[in-house]
Amino acid sequence: MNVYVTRALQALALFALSLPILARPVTYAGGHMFMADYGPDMNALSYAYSPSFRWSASVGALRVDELARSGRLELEYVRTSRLLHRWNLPSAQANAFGWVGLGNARTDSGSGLGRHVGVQLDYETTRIYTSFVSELHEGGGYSNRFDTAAIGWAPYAHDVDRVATWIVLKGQRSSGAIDDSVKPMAVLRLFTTRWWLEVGADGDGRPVANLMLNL
Amino acid sequence: MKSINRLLPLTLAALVLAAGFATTAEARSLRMEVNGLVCAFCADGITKAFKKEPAAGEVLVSLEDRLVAVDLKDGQDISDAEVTKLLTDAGYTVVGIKRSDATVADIRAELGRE
Repeated sequence: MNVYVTRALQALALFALSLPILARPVTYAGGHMFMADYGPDMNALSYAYSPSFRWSASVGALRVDELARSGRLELEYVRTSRLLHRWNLPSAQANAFGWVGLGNARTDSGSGLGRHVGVQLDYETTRIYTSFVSELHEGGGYSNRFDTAAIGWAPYAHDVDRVATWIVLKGQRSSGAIDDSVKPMAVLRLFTTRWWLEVGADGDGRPVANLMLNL
Repeated sequence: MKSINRLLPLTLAALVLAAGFATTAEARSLRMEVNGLVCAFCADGITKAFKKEPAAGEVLVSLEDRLVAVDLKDGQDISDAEVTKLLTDAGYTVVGIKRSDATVADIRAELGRE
């Protein structure tokens, strides 16, 4: 397989993992969501529309520099996500999501196709959040699995008329084509009903940021 | 006496129906207890869904109180079935629906969310 295609698939996998861990792959019925990501390795933009709270369709694009030192890497993808089950509890909510996606990767030397599938389980109150995400990325001879566990804590219970504040820690285990490793990350998250902002750092102290708008 | 016995249930039923219509007609808001309200970013869908209802006025969502309240426009109502569908389609579970003479502004004041 072309080395650029392999790198492109790796980048696609990393991009999927860069999605904010508290964000759900499906928003409310009729909801439009725009998202921008900034990180040491990549910059990304995406848009998702949910015809129903049960599923969404999204498109996105990103640019990766680190994984394409010998040439800029650009990716576009389409993805559909589904809420498999939701448990609405008196002061909590738990969800099971699943998704599949296809991506087109372009480098200076050509393009390649990658595919990914994933599941997410989460449990949330207004003070505590936990989630587990498992994803498998494949394309040609490339295959890699990512397992991400996250826990978030809110110093106060937010409501719709207040800015929510969360401190989120996560650990991400990678196995397969990309080196086996566990990577930590910590972010401060602020959000209201309309916007969502994250700032933080990865385990090497490099800054990460994410902005989402709910329309 | 037989006639009275026959008429009594009918009269009672008519009174109950009349009382029900009166309560509905007088209601100024709907107050719903909802399960699953934990995230403001996600709950915004509830407000947007009710804003599309012609009979709905101001909407209040309170995560802390697990409450959604909606002002009813004069002489209008939203049936329990419609309310349940709206909230279910927004991804939440309705536990109870009450009609109230209080407005959303009153409920907001009651909850200390003015």
